[in-house]
Amino acid sequence: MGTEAVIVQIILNGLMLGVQYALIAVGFTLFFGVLDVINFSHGDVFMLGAFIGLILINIFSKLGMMTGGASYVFVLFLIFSLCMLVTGLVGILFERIAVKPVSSGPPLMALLATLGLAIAIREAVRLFYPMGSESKRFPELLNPIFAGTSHAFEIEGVLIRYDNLLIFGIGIAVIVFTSLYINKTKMGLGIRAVAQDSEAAMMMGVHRDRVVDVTFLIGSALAGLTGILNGLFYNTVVFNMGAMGAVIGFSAAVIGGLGNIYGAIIGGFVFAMTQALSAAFIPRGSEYMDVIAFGVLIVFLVFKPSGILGEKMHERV
Amino acid sequence: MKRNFNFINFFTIAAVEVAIFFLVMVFFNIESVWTLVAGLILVVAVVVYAKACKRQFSSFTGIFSSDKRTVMGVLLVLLLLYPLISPHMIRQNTYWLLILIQTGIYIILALGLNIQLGSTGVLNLAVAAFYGIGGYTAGLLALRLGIPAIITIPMGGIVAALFGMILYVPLYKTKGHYMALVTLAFGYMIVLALDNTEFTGGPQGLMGIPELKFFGYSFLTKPGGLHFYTNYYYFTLFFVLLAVLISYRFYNSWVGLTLATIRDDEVAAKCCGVNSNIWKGISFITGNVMIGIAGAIYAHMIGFISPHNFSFAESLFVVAMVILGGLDNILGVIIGTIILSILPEKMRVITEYRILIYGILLIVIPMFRPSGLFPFNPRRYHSSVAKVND
Repeated sequence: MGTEAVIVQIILNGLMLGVQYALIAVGFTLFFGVLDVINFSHGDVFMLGAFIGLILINIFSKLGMMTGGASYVFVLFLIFSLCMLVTGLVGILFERIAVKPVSSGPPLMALLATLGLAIAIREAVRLFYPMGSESKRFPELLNPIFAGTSHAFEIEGVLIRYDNLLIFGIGIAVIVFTSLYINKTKMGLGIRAVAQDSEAAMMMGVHRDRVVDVTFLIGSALAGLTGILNGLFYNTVVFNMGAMGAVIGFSAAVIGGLGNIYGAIIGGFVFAMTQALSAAFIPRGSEYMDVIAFGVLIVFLVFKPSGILGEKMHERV
Repeated sequence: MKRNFNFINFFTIAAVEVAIFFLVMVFFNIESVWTLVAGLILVVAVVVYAKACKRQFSSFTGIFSSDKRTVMGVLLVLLLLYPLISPHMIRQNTYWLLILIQTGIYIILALGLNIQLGSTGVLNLAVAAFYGIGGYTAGLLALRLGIPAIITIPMGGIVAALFGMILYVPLYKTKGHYMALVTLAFGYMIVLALDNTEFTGGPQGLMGIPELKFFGYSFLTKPGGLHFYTNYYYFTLFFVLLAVLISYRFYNSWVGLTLATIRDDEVAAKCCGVNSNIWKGISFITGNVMIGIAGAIYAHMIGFISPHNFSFAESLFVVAMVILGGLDNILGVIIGTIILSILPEKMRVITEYRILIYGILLIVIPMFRPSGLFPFNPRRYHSSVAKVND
């Protein structure tokens, strides 16, 4: 395998991560839109999604439904959708108890409250999940689907695994589906209206509280799905993976411009590509890739202080 | 103007402060959780009652507000006497001495952040990074080059200020959430860089940083049979007093007023001719010097630092102290810091759930006290003039 092949391989891995970052960042940007709050607990909702997925997998294998065969894909689909649903409902719960009550107050207090929520979720998983402080093996769910094949194919020395391809495909499909929902449905219109001006939207008959609930359902469900995808990608989940998820998701949302869903998607891929390229082209880059990615982020904000697609900020006089 | 010395006032103030001082000692000694909870409820009840009947106690509280010099003087004497008294009073004396030193370091950090966040509105989520920069600077200088402590401690502040100047370039270009992200990313960057660089010891960190030594006096000697932490206690106390003094000088001068205008409305401040970029930078860097020096003291005292000490959780801890204490209220920040750093130590009985409870508190307090436990008071000018007119 030549060095070029290695570089292509790293970039493909970057794409794989990019789709996950984008999914988390979409949540950040949606919440910021409707409530004007940076919801730092979103990263830990993502972690919670991975653990809910793990619990569901355990339940289904206890029931003997994970044995493979024709219905296997259906069971997988069921696990994915159940996980998204449960995480989404949990997301609404968190919004009701901790995020919305503080969102009308000073922004710093809201920031602090969501950080507190993040800590509480993380600690609750560590304490109440059996052996929660250790990292957990995430079962390779997708392998049985490709049982008869060689699990991967090779182009010019670049190894592409089918399961990674599937992770990427699911991520892209969900992103497309979400953007269609936001842009084409009535509820999506409501979300955009509240994001633009919540008071005017309420005067036009938009039920703001319901819109906020639906937004948190969607955002948290996406985070839950990302949790499963992340578990499948790394084969391991751990209770404190949400902290990094939150920082990277927030960074991606900011790179794209807060409040803009396409910006969040672009931002996710930009962040992942920065990591991948620094790992590929800079000596000892794989150790410093996060340092470089954050450095690039800071420098980027010097030249584009409101992100790629963000609105130009107006100074009020 | 010659001040009349009022014996009754002096003895009232001294008696009350000594009583509180001994109550704190008792608090340190309590080991049963239920006694502790009952005591805390009692204290809260007394405070609430006193607030409700402010009128009746006005002649009593008036003594304290009229004679601040005596209040501070007696407090200082008690703080100076603490290491001499505590071995006879407190069972786990060394442990609590260490906790008090740690609290002192947190007070310096919180006051540094208060100048940035409270006075000027520059949100710094990289407090721990600057703390770490100060600590690693002092540690590396002392360990690798053998430079004496009288240079390493100020160098901790200077290097933190240099990093602050570099970070200020992206910081003044951005606003609000974007500004928060710049500092957040910087904090992660520093920790990840320290974690991966061999020169700074990687994830293991720096071990065996030499103790402080001034003019041949090693801080490991035991003054009069007391524990050697006593040296560090006085040393930290000195820097805490310095930080409090600097904070008050900032707050009470036209500089503090300038910073407050920038915090409240930057555009209006600019319209009035305030060069907001320069003043934001000055406040950011002043805060970082204080934070860096705190890091240097910590590194010398503990003798072992690793990137783990300076993670984002640590920044969050300090931000919580400042916001919960009350932005731009120096006394509030100090009280908030003391509560948040000493209470968790008492909660060690319930070690497992400590952080969970801490997280839940962070959710609950903003709901009920959206502007902190001790919201800041607007500046009152000419209060001395008013008194003369009375």
